[in-house]
Amino acid sequence: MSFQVKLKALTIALLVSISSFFLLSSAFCPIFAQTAEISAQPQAAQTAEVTVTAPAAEAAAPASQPVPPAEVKPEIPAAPAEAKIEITGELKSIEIQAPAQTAEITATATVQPAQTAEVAAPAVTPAPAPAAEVKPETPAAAPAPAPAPEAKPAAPAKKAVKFTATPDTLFITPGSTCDLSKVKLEVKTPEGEIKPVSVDSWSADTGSVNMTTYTPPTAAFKGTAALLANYTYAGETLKTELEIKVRKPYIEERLIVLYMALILAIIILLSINKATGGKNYFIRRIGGLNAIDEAIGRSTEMGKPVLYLTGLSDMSSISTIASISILSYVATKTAEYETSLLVPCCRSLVMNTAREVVKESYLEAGKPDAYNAENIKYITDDQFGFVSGVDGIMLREKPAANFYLGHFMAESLIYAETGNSIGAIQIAGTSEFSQIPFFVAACDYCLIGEELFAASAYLSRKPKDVGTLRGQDIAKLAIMVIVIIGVVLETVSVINPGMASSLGLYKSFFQTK
Amino acid sequence: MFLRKTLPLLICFFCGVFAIVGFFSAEGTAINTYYEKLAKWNSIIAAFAMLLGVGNLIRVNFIKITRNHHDKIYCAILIASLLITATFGILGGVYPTKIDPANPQLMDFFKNKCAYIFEYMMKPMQSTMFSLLAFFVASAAFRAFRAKSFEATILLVTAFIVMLGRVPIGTSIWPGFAGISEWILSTVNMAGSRAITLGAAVGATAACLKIILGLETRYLGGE
Repeated sequence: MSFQVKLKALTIALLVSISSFFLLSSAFCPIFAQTAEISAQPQAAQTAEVTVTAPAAEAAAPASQPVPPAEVKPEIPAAPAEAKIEITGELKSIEIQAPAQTAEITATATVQPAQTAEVAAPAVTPAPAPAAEVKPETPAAAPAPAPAPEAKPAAPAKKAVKFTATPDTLFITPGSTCDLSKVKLEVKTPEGEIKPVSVDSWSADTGSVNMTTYTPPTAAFKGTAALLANYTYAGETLKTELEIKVRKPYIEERLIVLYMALILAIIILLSINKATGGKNYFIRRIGGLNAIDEAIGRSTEMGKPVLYLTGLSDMSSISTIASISILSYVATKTAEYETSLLVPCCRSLVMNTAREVVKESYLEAGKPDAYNAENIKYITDDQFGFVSGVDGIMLREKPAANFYLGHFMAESLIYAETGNSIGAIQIAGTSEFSQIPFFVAACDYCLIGEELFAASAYLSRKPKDVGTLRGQDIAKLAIMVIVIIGVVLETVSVINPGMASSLGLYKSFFQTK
Repeated sequence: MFLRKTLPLLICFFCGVFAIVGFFSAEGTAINTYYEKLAKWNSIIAAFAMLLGVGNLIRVNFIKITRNHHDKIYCAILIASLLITATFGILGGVYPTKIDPANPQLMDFFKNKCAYIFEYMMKPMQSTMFSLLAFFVASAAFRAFRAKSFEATILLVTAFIVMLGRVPIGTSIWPGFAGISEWILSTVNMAGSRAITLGAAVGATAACLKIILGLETRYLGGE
């Protein structure tokens, strides 16, 4: 007998043993199948300890026979069976210890007056015990809860008059005044009628206000001013709040991001311009991208399909768009080699985009007949539902090359290990830092971070793509310089604390909100 | 050509520029208001696209059933599950609701069923898939940590130290493991993490710029 067969037999035996154990346990230990109902009407947050008794005949029933239903009344003192009920706080747990005929029940519950708490509890005797109904009816000796007070019919609530300002927040720029006539003031009467009103007066916590205009305290004031509108309705003074936010029309703290993005954009556009002008740039070798042709060739030789995943994200993710660009190249190759390309999708928009891209690639390769729309299908938006679907495809179709390029989360290792188990050549790439180690460990090739975005340039070698890549590299160089200056300043400020202010200025330049 | 290429590129350009301006505009400005609306449009479009996905799912699996595919039983289960869950969800609501037995309603049968399916079927199945990770991590680590080369040996030693620093037995062997482990994670690992993140951010920015300016058109199909 082979090892695998032995292992199977051992597993089956183990499963049978576990099942038998649970079946026998439930047969001989009626603990699993019994309930006790506790009906109580204590006041909130009261504690009651009640000793209750079951009739002796019931308590002494033979173990083999089912004990008839026992109604346990707290008034009867000193009996063979005892139940202690403690009710306090929120309903959390119930414990029962059942030595012979004595039942000790500790239940913890918060019960509002005139409510009923039902607690599932295990059995109290070795024999199958019936449902026990324990009713703490406020025995004289025990500190039982007081009976619930009878609910009095509530007096009809007086409907309030509502005074509102729409909008409740206004925005103005520093140095300007706020026109309060834009604010719509309304009163909702108890009858439900809404009528526009004019305010009696305004008051402000800062700055000055008259009936129509709010003026901030200073021209340079930035922040929030709280205004109060006062209106008298049927002799009652009503108030409503209005916030006035004084701020610039743009977010100043984000301006550094805009400057950096503009610099990056200029660098990239200049690089594209140079590249389209005939300048030839060197691109370092990226192993994962070189292996794409090899992987597709292997699939063709083996007569097996190629599997391509674009990740979990929708078309709004830049990783997915980068992945779709690579899919275009892969589809062209699979069309040339007449190899089947499977693209299960987690998002329906991605599926439609992928279909268009693959169809165009097959057309470009001159193999429109080889395109099969059914190979690009939507599975589910659910993360692990999608994982199980893809794993199923891998195990059934046994692709010879798997591509995982895009945005991946916890499921990355499940794909990679399943792909590894079927012997597929695997090329992965993601910008998600936390998933890179899994792909590095389990895949043959891995595109790390920016390599995913550089892939389209690397594969196409078109001037506009290569120029973009060149621009990226220059931007990275600039970032490296900024980081190195920061490190030097930080080190110097530790040695010479007098330099700390320079470091602070440097840091504040790059801080955003 | 105009509808397939030029118009999408124009829409992409205007939406991209508008999103950038909206990101820098302050709360309450007209641009910011429309910028927030644009984000909502995205969700609405995605919701409509869901219909496409569901339609595709039903079509693909239905074709398999009619063609007597060997997986037809699974296709049937999938379609049945989809329809049952959707029926309960649409007619009875997605979230748990209270049913008043004293005042029975026509739709009471459908209520809470969708929440029940999610709680007692979806969640356990999701957990089952997720729990596979425990075994996959072990098998991947076994392959990755084989000291085949100098780099793999460094990986093995580092991983061993980090693991010892994170488990009680490691600190009981030598308390210094915790400190070394923390240093590796907060200094060496963090430096690598930030380098990759910065590179990816620059790459993403460049890719966005290419898309907004219409230099990248592969996602529309073809060059």
